[in-house]
Amino acid sequence: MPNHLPGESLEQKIEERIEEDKFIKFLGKNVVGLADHLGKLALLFFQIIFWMFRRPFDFKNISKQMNEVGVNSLVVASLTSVSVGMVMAMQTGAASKNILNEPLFVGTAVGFSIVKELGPVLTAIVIAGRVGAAITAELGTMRVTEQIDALYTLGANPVKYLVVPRFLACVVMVPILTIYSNILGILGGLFISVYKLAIPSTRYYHDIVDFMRSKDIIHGLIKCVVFGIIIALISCYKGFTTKGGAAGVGKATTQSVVLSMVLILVSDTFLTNILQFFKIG
Amino acid sequence: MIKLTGLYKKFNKQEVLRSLDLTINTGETMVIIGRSGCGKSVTLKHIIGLLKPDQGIVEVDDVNIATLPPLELQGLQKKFGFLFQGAALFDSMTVADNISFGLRTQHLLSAEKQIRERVAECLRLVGLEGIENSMPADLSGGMRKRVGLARAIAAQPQYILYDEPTTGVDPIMSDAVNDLIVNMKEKLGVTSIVVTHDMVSAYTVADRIAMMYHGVIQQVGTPDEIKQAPDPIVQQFITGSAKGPITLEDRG
Repeated sequence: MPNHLPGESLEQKIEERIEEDKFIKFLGKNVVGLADHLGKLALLFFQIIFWMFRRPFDFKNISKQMNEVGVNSLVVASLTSVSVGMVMAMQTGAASKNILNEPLFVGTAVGFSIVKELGPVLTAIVIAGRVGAAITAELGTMRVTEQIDALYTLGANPVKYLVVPRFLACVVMVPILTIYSNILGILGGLFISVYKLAIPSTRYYHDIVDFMRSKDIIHGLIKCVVFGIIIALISCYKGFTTKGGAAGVGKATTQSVVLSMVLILVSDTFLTNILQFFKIG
Repeated sequence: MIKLTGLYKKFNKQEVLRSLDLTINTGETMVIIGRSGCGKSVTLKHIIGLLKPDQGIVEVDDVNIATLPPLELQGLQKKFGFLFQGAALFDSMTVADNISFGLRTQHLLSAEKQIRERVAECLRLVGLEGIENSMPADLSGGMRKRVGLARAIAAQPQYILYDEPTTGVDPIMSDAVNDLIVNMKEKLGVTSIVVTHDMVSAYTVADRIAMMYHGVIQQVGTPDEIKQAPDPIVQQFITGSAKGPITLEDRG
């Protein structure tokens, strides 16, 4: 007794089964792959924490990385934040003028948007593009040219020697750069408010400080720390797992930047929700 | 003493090592020969713990490093010097910093003067005096290889693993590298494992030669025993003949 419907040929039935198998294999492969990556990322994170507190501390290397992540990103972070602050002021001023006939609460809108969202997110995205890519490309090249293996053979642990300084640099410098970006963004908004919208600078100032609480600033800074961890972890992980020569380094670098940016934006949604739940900002 | 027992390693679906057994006695120079891609470098990386076997035991001084926790493995790795096939010099450091890297991380020498002297001595041994401040990117392939060699011997390790030490090096320097390997053994009693295709080098430095074929050791013996081995596979390889049981497609 055939177990397929009358009119349906055995070949069709087999083809359907093959398609189903392909789908299950595809799904399984991706789920297993994702679990594998998440497990290795968690392992790398624990290794970083383990090696971070073990002597000797490589202050020279840490300060070199902080310089690379922080100081060398100042120009690009400045341009981004000033532009965003100015655009925010222009848009808020225009919208307020349309609805209320005068630009009201421009400082409040610019200040809150920048301190809580735009400052942390845009700074993190700029760092992911500039520093995250550089970290993955450098570590990836070291991986494919066996320099990471060479570290092991010379008695140095690559996580301690390469990853910990970069991790610390990102976790410390992303919040510092964000504070700097916040200030510049707000000053950009001030410039537009005073010279384009004719708002007195004292009013712009009071629009911010009368409403903003320390919780709002902490809200933004907590996000920066998480974004710094994401950038360091993803870029180092992608660099360490690079395979396949120069092409592999290019591919890993692209994946690192894209993944970091997506994770920054996705985690921002969850972080905002969690921080609001705990009434932090 | 290094003892490999039943070493098995698979990458994806390709079996590279299939129950490989080999013993390297303390103070001897073992040369491993075999076709490109037959797993010689993979064997070296198992010995130093850079790769873990799927099955089998890697004993270094009676300690199985295949199951050693990471921190203890790192301690054991300090007994080794490793010359990588592509030298694997740190691009961001000068030649001197590359050579002194192991001395600093292992705290073998603390005084800067001593470190500088050791770096200069190692560079002299590989015929590259005075290039301490050059960057690896400014060196030729052969020079990079020799700096890699200087780095491998700088910490005066107990075991030195050489992955194709004479590849990319001119014939005169190749002979000097062979002398260096012999001297390291005679003067410092170093145990060496040399992976090479260069049969002249193999006969010069080897106490024993092991031929790898299809992921196992096909034959082990002194250079004379290998030269006179009746095995057609060994004979074809050491005479470098395209005709014989090893075909061109066969990666060994």
